[in-house]
Amino acid sequence: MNEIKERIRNEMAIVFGIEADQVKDNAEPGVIESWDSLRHMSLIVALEEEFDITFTDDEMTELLNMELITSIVLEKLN
Amino acid sequence: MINPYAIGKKIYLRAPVEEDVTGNWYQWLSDPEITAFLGERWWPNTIESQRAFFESIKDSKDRLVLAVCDVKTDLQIGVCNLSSISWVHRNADVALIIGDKNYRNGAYAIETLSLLLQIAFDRLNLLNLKSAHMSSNPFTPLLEKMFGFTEAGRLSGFMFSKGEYVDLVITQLKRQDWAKRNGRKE
Repeated sequence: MNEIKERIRNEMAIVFGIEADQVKDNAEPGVIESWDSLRHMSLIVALEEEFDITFTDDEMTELLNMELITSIVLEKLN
Repeated sequence: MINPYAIGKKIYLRAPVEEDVTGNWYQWLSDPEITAFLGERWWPNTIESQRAFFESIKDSKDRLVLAVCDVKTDLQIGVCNLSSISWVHRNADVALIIGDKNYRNGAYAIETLSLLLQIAFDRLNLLNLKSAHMSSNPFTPLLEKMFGFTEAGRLSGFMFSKGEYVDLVITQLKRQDWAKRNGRKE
């Protein structure tokens, strides 16, 4: 789980243009200043490519913060 | 919720009503930030022209326009539609606008498109959806890619935007691809 979470953290850092250690477990829009609409969509596309997964439409509406993103990605990989 | 037609987690879709005409809807379509990448919104919008549009869609069967509303407050935050619906060919054009700037964080557009696709494929039994965006638009290609739209073609230098001619990119989503992506029967 930790390895997956770190990969998610790295993807978020790249998309949001910040250092990985700035992506905390409570990361969400508002907490990360650069988390805007364009980067939100970029993150979803980046996660699909990084983990070679495809989110369903319902899942895409749930990817709202670090906790939910980690949970959904783990569920898909398992 | 007021007369919901499709219900999501944060938003719901409903038929537009007379009160929407005099709400924020008409102002979104004059706002240069909101209309920056729309192909046909270069003239200022007015309550009168909004009312004329509202009257034109009320009984339309080839255009389904829906207000996008906040589940918690019932505030109209945007509008979406399926237009040029062909009941023979079973296809339509898809478009959406999140006009309220407090809701333009991406998540509301994603949920709106998710609901609109369910309506198109599950309820209206359409087979193909078409969309189009200017090549200079950074948002729509990402949204379309997320939902599995693929580029069907482009018209070179077809649109004028922010002082330059840009391509018009036409994209397509087939029901079978949407169904596969969402684990549905085709």
